[in-house]
Amino acid sequence: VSFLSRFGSVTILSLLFFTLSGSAHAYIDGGSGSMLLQMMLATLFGALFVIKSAWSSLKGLVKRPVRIDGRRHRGE
Amino acid sequence: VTETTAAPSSFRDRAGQVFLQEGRVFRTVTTSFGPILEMLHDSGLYEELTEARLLVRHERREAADPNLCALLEHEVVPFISYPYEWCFSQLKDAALLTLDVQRRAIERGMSLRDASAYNVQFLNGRPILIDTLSLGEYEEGAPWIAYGQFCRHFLAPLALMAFADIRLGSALLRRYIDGVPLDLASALLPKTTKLKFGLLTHLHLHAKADSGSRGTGGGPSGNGSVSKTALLGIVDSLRSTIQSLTWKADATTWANYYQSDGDASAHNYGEQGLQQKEDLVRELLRQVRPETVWDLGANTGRFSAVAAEVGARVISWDIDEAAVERHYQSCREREESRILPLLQDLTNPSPSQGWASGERDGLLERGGADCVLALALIHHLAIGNNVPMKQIADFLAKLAGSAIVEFVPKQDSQLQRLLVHREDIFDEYTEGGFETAFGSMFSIREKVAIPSTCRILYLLERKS
Repeated sequence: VSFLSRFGSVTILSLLFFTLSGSAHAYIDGGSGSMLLQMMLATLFGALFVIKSAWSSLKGLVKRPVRIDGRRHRGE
Repeated sequence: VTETTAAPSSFRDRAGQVFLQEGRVFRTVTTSFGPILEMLHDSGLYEELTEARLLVRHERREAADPNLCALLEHEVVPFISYPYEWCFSQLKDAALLTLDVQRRAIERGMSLRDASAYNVQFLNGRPILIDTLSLGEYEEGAPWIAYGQFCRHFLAPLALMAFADIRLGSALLRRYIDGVPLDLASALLPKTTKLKFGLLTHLHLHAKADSGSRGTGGGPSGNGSVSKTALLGIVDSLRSTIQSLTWKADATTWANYYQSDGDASAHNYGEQGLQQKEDLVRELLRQVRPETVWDLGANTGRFSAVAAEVGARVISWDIDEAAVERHYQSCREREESRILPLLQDLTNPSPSQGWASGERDGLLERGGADCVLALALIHHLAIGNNVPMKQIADFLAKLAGSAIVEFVPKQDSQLQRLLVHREDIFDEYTEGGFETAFGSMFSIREKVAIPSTCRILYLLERKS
């Protein structure tokens, strides 16, 4: 869990807080930690999401019902 | 339309305010937020969300004030409930609704500017987003501003309810009006929850990130960016994390109250007796013809269903998490739109709280049903909580114009159980004492003995 303590260290944070660009109509405080965490996990979650979406469309393709003439239904 | 009463809960957002006027709900939209309102409609998001019943509908009205770009009239949510009054599945359904809205919003170039659980209400049995202005413009690369709030309002309490103790949800949400602090949730959760990827990242790491960043100057975002795919990934991960949280409403004394088949000792009614009581209650309700009923101590809702059948909209209060959970699940399965089961400890009702004690209304401030059902309840208040009978009458009179009240006399075995380990100091607790106490506030319209028991059912009408 040394990753965790380093994760919260002021050094990393100070590097990331040079520019501040809040959303145009934000009225709640997003919280530095919450913003930072999303940036750090963005690649991981993005990748997982792509894999998951690809997997479910692959499954959809396999499960797609086959008509008697052997052609697949469109849009199913 | 002139603005009358600004809802005290809508001061935070400067984009607009909610006003209540003669039972109608209006929302002002300031000029600076005009383009966002246009975007909501032009993007097709408004249509999509309202069609799916995920967002309340609105109509545009003429705004008298030149500083306003629009005045919206919203469909009315008849009863406002709060997250600390919801059972596990209600909070979970509200969380999934919020994530569903956020996913659809991102896909149409918008994003939720906040993810407060108070923005969700139950309308016709299903959760719905009531804060139209919480949808803002999505900026490419921006992280989700409401990520932290979502985790505090939904993820933390649900995880605590699922893995630590069901009672923590309501208790902590009532204490922390902007959601359960993540460091607190992280400390209270069993260590094994760190083995679950979703909880490890969105809760435990999140708590660490929060405490690590404290004192570094709280700017909302750095120059790092979160791609749209990543953002959808975060929302999807939150959704599967929330989806995986479950709580089984196991046998608690109350949730099993009516289920103990043939065991007359549990509630002193056999199935036949219950049926007779149900028929009597139905008959009395038909005399009152109430539009709204509050069922106090509703348990899993047997008598709430009778009230709904008679045509009333029912709020079914109970103190027991398992009973409310079972009741909500059964309403959801039956697609029952007229009954809303909620959690409430009548000996310590929801207070008025939040900023200036006006942001969230107390139980009594939201009162005003046509009829209140108090079946097998009074003895728990009078003997279980030492409340003088006259005060119970006063309390019920504040809630409704009519009351259907069951009186359980001392010789009843259920009542004897309450007295096993305590001195009987309740001299006034008699049929006569009940009628004297309630007689000061109500007229007795009907008095019926419940067959094969020693219990009595009263139909009371508040004196004007």
